[in-house]
Amino acid sequence: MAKKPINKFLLLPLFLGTVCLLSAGLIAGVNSFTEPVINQMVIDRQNAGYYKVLGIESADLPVDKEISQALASDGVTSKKEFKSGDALIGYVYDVTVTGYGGPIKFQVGFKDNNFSGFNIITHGETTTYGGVVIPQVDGRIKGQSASSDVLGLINGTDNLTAGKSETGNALVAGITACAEDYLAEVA
Amino acid sequence: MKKSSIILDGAFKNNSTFILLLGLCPVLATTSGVSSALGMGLAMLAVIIVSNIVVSLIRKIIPNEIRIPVMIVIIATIVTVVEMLMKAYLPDLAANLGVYLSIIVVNCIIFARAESFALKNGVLDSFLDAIGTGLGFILSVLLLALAREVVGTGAIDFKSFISGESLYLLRIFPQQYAISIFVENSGAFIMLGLLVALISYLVPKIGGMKEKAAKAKAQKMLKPTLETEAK
Repeated sequence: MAKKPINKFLLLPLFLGTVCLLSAGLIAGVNSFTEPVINQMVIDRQNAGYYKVLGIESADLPVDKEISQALASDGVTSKKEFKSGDALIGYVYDVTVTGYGGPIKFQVGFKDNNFSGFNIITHGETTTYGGVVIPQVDGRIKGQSASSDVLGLINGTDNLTAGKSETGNALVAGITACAEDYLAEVA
Repeated sequence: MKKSSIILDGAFKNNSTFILLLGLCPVLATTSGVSSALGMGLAMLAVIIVSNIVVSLIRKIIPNEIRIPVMIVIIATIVTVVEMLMKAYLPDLAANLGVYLSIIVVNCIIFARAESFALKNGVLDSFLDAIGTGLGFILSVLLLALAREVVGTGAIDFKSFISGESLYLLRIFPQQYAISIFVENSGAFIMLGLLVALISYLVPKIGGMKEKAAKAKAQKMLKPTLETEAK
């Protein structure tokens, strides 16, 4: 009778620990083969996005441009220059900012001193905000001057992001940083 | 208990959505379109089948004091695995379902079936119970989604599970007569209320008809016996 509480004291955490360990093993096993597929999908989406945001079908291999410390701190992870022969087509920036639901990966393109497009790669926002609201940024900025007020462009007349939310502010800051760098680059 | 009645009970008599009103959050959120509703339903079916089988398999060795945390770990693991597989192989559907895919972990339908059925019954019965409950859930979300999509848009948009692209648009009536509130979140509550009311009205009627039929059958069977006794 005296042994029972000691046995239970050991048995219960041991049992739960074993179940947790088996679960962790199973998740790790599945993750080992799904993670490369997911990563490859993000890369494919990113590669297709370069052409999409510039509105082109093909170009020479893009040149990776160096990004400043300040630009990196604004979330810019890469800056690519696209040319066709000697003619400059435009620039595409890969940006990762932190929204309310976690990191948001997107691309913003510029050509002829204008925004040429916006493409969302991944997000952790809600289905409606991340899947419906944020993609509308593309239509709002495309063809507009790169020196325009980004918040004003995105909000339009219906206050798309309102400029008050964590996600909206992060997007505006990221796009503005890219626009400023692009204007300095082509000046 | 008959094997077929285990399935039928889970699917109709104890339908989790319209009769028991359990796990309504994802039901309301993912039924704006037929495709996303079907995706949610299939994900639920997969999770409930695996969780019922696993819980039933280890029911004799789970210490009673920690059965709830053990079941939570098991269900969370299955949901995480399903989510990872969907993100890798059905990315558009996973994006469409969003956070509602993850919160299957706390769906009380799955937990209720594990606790009240799988923990007390054998593997085959638990599997059949999961099939019944899962099919009942799929039928419920499809019915709700179909009603919302038709009334809200005037059409049914059949989308590909893999690419999310529209495959075929079946127009039922012109869009100008559609009541768009039904594809919004508030419309989900209204349509669910209407369907629950309709089902609550119909179920006793069907039950009454069955009872009458059973009584008539019993009387028919009893009549020759009484006649023989009288002779």
